[in-house]
Amino acid sequence: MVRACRVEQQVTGVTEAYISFMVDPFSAGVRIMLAEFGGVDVEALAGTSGALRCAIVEPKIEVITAKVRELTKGLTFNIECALNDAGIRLAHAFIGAELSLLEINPLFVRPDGSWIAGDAKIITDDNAMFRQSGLRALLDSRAIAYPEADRKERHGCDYVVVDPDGEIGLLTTGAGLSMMLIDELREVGLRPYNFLDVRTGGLRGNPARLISVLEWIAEGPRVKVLLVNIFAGITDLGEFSRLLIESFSRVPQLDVPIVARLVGTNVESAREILALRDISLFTDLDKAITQVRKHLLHA
Amino acid sequence: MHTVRMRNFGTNIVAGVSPKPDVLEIGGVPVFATCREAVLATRANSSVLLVGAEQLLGAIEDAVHAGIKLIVTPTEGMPVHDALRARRLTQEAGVTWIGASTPGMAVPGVAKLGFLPEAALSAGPLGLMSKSGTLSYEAGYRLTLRGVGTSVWVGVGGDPVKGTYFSELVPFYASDSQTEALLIVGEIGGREEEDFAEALMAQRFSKPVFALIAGRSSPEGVTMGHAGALVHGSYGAYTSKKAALERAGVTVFGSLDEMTSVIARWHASRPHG
Repeated sequence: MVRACRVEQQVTGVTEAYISFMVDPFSAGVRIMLAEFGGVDVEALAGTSGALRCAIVEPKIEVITAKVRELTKGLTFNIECALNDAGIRLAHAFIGAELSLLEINPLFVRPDGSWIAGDAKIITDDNAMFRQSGLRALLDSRAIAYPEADRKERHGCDYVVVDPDGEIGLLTTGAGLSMMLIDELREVGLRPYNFLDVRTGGLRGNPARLISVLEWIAEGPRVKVLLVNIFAGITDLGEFSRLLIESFSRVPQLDVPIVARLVGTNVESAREILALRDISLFTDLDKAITQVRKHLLHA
Repeated sequence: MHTVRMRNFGTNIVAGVSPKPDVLEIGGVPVFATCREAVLATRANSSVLLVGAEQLLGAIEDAVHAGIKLIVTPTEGMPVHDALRARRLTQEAGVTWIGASTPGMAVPGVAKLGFLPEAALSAGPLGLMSKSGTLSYEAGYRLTLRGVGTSVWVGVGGDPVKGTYFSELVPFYASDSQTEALLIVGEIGGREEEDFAEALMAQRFSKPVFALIAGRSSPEGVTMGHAGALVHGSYGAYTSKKAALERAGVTVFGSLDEMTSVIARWHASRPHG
């Protein structure tokens, strides 16, 4: 659904260049890439012709700008000027806003060496939001455009709807295990509704996050069963079960059977608490999935 | 709580560090105001940092300057640019940094640094490295139930910029006499598994290597635009990782079940003695 339309001023009489800064994890540096030829075909033009100039440097503004100046030597003069100027400004942006990627493609260069960004791709760091007030304000003012980042910021968990017609709501902790669970459910023809890393470590005895998560899952029009999968390193499962029961009772619109698979500390206490609400507790994930299947067949 | 559990597992915990002046000891372990004081008093050489994401870089700097040689940081949420600085610092200082976002590391039967769950830990001949905490617990748990234990378990953590990558531990696992085979638990995104495959070939790693990679059915997370395509080509996706690993002779599993069966079979077929 189109919510808005942006109209840009036409730019003529320019050439298209390319510049990007990207975090290079292994070398713990910033990878600079620039080329005299940009645009949508940059991979073809620059990648194959050798026109792409790269370097990896220390993540410091002055080091980045110095390297950009070095890399632009010998380019057509107005493009060299434009990219050097862009280098300084973008280095400040990249380091100041703690970006993981900043790409201007195409970078429109005018004959006089001035430039204008034709398009930009930026990747910000969710983990730096607490000290990036400008970015935070952007996120807050248009939260609807960044639903996942907004949820993470407000609720401290990672939640993504992976299949709007999914039948299995997932209340899970741990991104890797949740991803694997989605893979395995799909492999046997089942349809998980959502990905979730609820981060049980941060619940702090407060049902608020679980209530929010259950409300989101309740929005799934075809969700017929809730699978809880918590493999706890440090979470007290008895405590967690109490929170789960309380949260579930506060979200009556999610009226589906629950299958709980819990491994970790205080599982016996969890078993007792969940038994009071007729929630089956498994320690074997495959058996829990079989139970999920049974519920789907009866639904 | 963590101190007691780590110590019960066998870790020799000699000191704690806390800025709160009223905490002098925990469970018999003396607490110092700074890492430097703790090291001077006890000659501690490793440290587990249980501080918030905002304080993590500072705590790592303190530990490095105090002379700590192995730092484990379970904390999640470390800003990427802080991680860049921490990685540079620890590499330059010759300090091993495991983390961030890791449940830690363990040598079952000897010690653990962090909070890997006991249900998943038993001593045995399989080396284990993992990006994901919870998926590695699941793997370790299932293998333990089948009698397959681990030699050295390292949670490298799931952050894109981290202290130690899979590839950097290949020489260690190659020379570790307790490790007879190696399992990596990976995930789509980044090039860690591809780099690991290259490191195996460069090392001429001769022990069996297994891999469980999560995210086969998930779309690639964050795309890095043209920059990503220019640098990575087809890195990062499940298919890329599987192909790179298989080229290096790694057995890549399609499911947890397959992993358990195949590794249990390997374990049973080893010559004993």
